[in-house]
Amino acid sequence: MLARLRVSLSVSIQTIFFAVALTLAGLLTWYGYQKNIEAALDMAQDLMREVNGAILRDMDAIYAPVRTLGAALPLAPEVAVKPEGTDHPLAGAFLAALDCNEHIYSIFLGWDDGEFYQAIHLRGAVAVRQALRAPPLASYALRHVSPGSYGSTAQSWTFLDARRRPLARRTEPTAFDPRRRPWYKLARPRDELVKTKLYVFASTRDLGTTVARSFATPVGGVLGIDLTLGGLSRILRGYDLGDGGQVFTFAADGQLTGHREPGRVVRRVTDRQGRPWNLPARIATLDDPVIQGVYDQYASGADMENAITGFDVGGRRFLSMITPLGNVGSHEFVAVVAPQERFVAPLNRVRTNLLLFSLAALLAAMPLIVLVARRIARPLNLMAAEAERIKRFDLDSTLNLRSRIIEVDNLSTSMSRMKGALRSFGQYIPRDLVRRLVESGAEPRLGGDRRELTILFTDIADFTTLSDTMPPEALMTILSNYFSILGGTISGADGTIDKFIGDSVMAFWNAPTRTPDHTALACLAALRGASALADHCVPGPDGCRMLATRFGLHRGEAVVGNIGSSDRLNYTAMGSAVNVAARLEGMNKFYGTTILASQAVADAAGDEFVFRAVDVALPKGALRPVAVCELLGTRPDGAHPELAAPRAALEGLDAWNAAYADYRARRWARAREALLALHAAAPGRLTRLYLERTARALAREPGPDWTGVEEFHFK
Amino acid sequence: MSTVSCAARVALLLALYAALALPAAARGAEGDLVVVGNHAPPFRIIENGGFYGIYFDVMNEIARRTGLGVRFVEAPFQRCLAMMEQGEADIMLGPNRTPEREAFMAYTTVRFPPADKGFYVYPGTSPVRAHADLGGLAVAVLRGARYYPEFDDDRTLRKVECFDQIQAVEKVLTGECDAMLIPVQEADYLLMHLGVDLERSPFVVPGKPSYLTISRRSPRALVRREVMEEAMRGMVRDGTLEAILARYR
Repeated sequence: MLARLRVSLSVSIQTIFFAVALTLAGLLTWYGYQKNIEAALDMAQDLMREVNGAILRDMDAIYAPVRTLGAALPLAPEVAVKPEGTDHPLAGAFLAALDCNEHIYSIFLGWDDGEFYQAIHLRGAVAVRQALRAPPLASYALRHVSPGSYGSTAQSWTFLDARRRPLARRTEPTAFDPRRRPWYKLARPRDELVKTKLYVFASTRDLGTTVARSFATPVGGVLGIDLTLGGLSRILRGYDLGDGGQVFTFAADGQLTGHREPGRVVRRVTDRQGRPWNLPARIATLDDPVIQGVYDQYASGADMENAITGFDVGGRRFLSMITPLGNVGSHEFVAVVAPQERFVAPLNRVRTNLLLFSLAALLAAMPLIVLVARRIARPLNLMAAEAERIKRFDLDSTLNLRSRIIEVDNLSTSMSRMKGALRSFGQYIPRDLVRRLVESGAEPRLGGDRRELTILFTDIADFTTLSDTMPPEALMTILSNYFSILGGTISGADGTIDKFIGDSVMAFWNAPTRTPDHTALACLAALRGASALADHCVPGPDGCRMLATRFGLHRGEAVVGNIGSSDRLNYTAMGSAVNVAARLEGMNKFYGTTILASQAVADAAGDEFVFRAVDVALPKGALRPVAVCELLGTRPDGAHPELAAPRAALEGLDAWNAAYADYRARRWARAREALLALHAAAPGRLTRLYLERTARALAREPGPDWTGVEEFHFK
Repeated sequence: MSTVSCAARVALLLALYAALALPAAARGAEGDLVVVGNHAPPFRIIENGGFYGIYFDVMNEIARRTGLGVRFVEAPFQRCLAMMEQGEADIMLGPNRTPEREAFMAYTTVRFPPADKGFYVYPGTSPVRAHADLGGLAVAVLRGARYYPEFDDDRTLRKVECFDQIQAVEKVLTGECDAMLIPVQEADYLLMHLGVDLERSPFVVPGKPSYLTISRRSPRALVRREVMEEAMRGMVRDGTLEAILARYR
């Protein structure tokens, strides 16, 4: 299982703040960008619609007068008059109309009998002049096609200068028949103004369109007005949509009908005999992917007339809109196309700049964010540390923490109050024990386990006399101070104080926390306690008093755990080892010693400590005798020289051990001799006890059943 | 309580009526039959903001005689077929009869005169006198079009597909193709427009009749089928059809 990721509050706040701020900045930028894009596209749509509308208006400016001419001229009665050579009653009107409209190439009449009359404005177009073989100074050409007898047809040309004076005349045969021309085919059956698609003019081989209308005279016919493409190209050139932008017109069948470069509308082909041909250019042959893209959109059925449509060419996005040419054309459209970047590039720059600015602002604000995060986290960290101290039952320190954040401040106040409450509560419970229980991780439930413990019992010598001679209040005060001193030495040596019983203390080691050197620690605690109480008098309300204390130490197996009821537990140790420790403490009075320990303690304490054998005793209630030793202190050269055994005791230790060994070996006289020497050097209750025993043994030799065990019948 | 229930019931009925009646009204507003066709003169001429040519003139006359409302829509030939198949168009003018097309179009008895197809060659080059002459020739054809079975099924012929007839003319002019195959009337109209003189070969393939077809997804056009067919018969009887044909000769 993966370890749960833990992150500090400060880092979390910084991360969250940064993430939220970045997300918000991103979202706001994105939202603003989207809205700006929509606005830009609306603007593009309006612009394209405006351009299309302007082009339509410009085109209408060309076609409107043409339509007027085309509608009015056929009504003139002169259309019924046949030309005389290249003279015709309408020639003057035709030439005037040509002068007025630069987009008109020619005006003509074609009759049903095959006659044809045409007025052409040359306008300096070299190609046209060459095609018509016009003199260099000619400005106009008048043409008359007259079907002759036997199927032969002749056409007469008269070329005029700018003042309409004849410059040259020419007559030649021709195969031209107006009745086979597209304008005638389209207009003749109808009584309305028509406009042809692009077709090739017979005279110049150039592409153009004709506006035509039939007239009904005795010899009916069609009046036509030829328009070249130059005018439309000039209009389209007037609209600049930037790099990649285009304005053009096209027919529904894919024919390009208008382009800013007039040459693009014509596909010039050279045939197999080298003759040039002009064909209408189709979008498919243009090799222009942008125009092709517009047409593909149209052919796919996209609604391009009401809204802009987007498509991609070579990784670039293009926007396009088309508008029907309406009454100036048929099934033709004017198309505007421009790269999307033309409209959104500034927005993209703004978006990028905004993101960079947001990021920079965020980075600049990071120190402030860190500071704020730390300020927010600091009280929580302090409270976490405080909680940790509370967990350890360290209730002495005071947390004076105020915060401007209400919740944190409330939490701090509550924690302070909780700590105060626990501090009061802690006075009634073994705080150290609870701390150890918490640290050991043991569940507070009824029951215990068997474990090797070192158990300590203490008792104040002559406490009964003391209590009888002191007021109870003073006794309680001095006893509290006494327990404070003694409890400190026990806790300081990692001991667990089980309980205070009157003037006695019961403590043990190796539970609840396991400590491998528990016996040594218990010995140290006993020595420190004895030393502290021997060197200092215990303060009371009426002065201080020396409180001699006796200690009993035993190591043995006991059951340790919680006893009591489910709502009130007592962590304690039970078993015969506890009784032995208590009895050993009581034997001090008999032997005149301060710290008595069992042989098990002496064996387990280690070389650090100095013991001397005292006796083999059978405590009251015990089934087996216990070898009893006196803990004299630590070795002077050890780790605790301040607790070293007294020099005199150390010097007499060997002699004592020898005397004790003689006694155990029933060598009464020898033992007595040594004891007398010891007693003379350092009189004591123990040497006196053994002098009495050896005296009795010498007076009356003990029987063979002598065990040397001192049976105690009192506690 | 009962008043409220009654009012609620009336409101519900009004809402139901509106839901049912409004779409019907909307349908009525756009009730014209959609007739699709491409620019293929002289059969279908789309110029001057209007729809002319033999087929459109016939359709206009049928509409006039039957009182049908029609709306012409220009689209490329292949798209016309797709619109018929998807029900976006009601009537199409001029397609030949093929089993595939019959799956989505009903062919009426309104038949247009067959359009003979001819081979056009560059002036002065060898004309096509029989199908057998096509061996070794490159023939420009319109993409997706069908001509006559012997030609369509002959895999040995070199057919060069063009996206329109102008491209076919260009290929014959430049020598990329030796001939182009095109309905004769359409060729005459096209070459006149382009001012190009290609020679028609003697080998002319009789055309198949083309039809007025109805999309099988257009029940409202299908129910008018008989009326339209009767109008066409009337036009044949009274010479109107012949007059229309003469207009474009």
